[in-house]
Amino acid sequence: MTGSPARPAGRLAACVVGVAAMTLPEPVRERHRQEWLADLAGAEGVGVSPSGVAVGALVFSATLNRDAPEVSGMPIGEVARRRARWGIVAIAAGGVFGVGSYVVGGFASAIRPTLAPVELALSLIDTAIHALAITLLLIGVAQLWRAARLASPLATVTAALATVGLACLVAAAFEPALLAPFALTGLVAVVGAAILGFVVMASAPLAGRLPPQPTAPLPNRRAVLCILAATVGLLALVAVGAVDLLVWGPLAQTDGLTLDEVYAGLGAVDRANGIAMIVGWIVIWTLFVVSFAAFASLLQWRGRAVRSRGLFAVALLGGSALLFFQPWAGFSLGMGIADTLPPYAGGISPVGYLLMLVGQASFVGALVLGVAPRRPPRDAVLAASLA
Amino acid sequence: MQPLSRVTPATVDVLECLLEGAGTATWGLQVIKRSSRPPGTVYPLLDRLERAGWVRSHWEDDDARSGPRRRLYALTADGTEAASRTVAAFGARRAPASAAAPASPRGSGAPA
Repeated sequence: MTGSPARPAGRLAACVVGVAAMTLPEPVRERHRQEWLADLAGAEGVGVSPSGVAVGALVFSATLNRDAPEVSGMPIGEVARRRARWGIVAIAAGGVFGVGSYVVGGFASAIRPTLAPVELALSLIDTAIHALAITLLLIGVAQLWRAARLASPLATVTAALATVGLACLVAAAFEPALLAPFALTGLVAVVGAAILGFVVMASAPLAGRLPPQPTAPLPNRRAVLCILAATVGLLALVAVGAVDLLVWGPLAQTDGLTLDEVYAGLGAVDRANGIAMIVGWIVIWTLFVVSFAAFASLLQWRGRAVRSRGLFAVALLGGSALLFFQPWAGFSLGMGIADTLPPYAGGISPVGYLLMLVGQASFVGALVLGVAPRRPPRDAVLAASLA
Repeated sequence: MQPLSRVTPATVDVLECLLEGAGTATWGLQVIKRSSRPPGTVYPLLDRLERAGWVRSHWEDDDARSGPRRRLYALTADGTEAASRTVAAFGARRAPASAAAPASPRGSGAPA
């Protein structure tokens, strides 16, 4: 009567138990997985329903106090700090996606491509980005509250202030008539929460902290591959951004004209100024990418000091910065088109819209790599699981 | 050992099952069976009791049986005393109600 259940219902229950176990923190995962599988194997023998065992495993996972040190494998202070950092990352990410969509106007501001599937895909992405922004904000606030619950009353005040501030900012975006008062109140509250949160962390350090987790530098071959991948990725962004500025962008702004007609219609000064700004953007960011690659290579060559996390965090931050400035580089050309080639269709090209999203995602990626806590070392958390 | 923050009828049923073991470890599934409580109630309860120090658990040491190991639960010495007091106190509270109304299907939590 041992081993895996053979009947379909038993196999399904075993799958559910496996899923429930997978959702558990690592220190307690294997213990409960094995316990539930043993219970499943013997369930029918003692007159208990295997599906009941499976549901029990799910209920256990859903109701488990994951903050307890014996479950998380970490001191309570470390758990609070990690939750707070994840909360900050989620709120910042939600803010980036939310503000990005709000300021640019989302896909509605982009000129429609001729291919219907592309248009549908981009509009779906646009809707998903809005939903993602709100979801991330909610997750971030929840994480802050969970951290505050483990910390101190002052931390609870911080979480409350952050919640009120974010609620005001979201309300400001949805209620244009009350934009100014909501936005001002929200900003004051969020900045206040940030300052108070810093004071909480600095003045009353929470008990318990995992030992520092030094990371080994990358071996030469892997470091070269990582530097190469990051460099090629950044150069690709510069290249696509340049084509968008010089070709797709002007076409999107002048609905119906060919590229030759656009440039021929511009005055000599407008054309030269517009192209000069774009070339300036290309040169500056190409230099940045080359410098990044050279500096990373030098670091690796001098002392093998390159870590993949830091390398990609800088690359993603650089990518988000170059894409943030990309629309500005097209500003002069766009103004020339608006002044001399009416009717000005406005907006950005679909590729420009995608680049904007890539820039936001890059910034969020940099936040995750730079601010979010790293996974604790296995040996630090596995000790509890072997008890 | 920490006091329990909340004692429910299900807690008492589980404690009664463990008290019946009288110092011997009981398989978690047997606690489910004898308490007639669903696994979704018993698993979290056993976990809470263990973390509070009322119960300790260990893997079954049975080389003759293959497959995943069973987890066995037993009351600690302090846990046995506390469980006896808790069950008695709960029974005393339940007695007047039982006298005034028909007995519930669970009754005193006797094993099935």
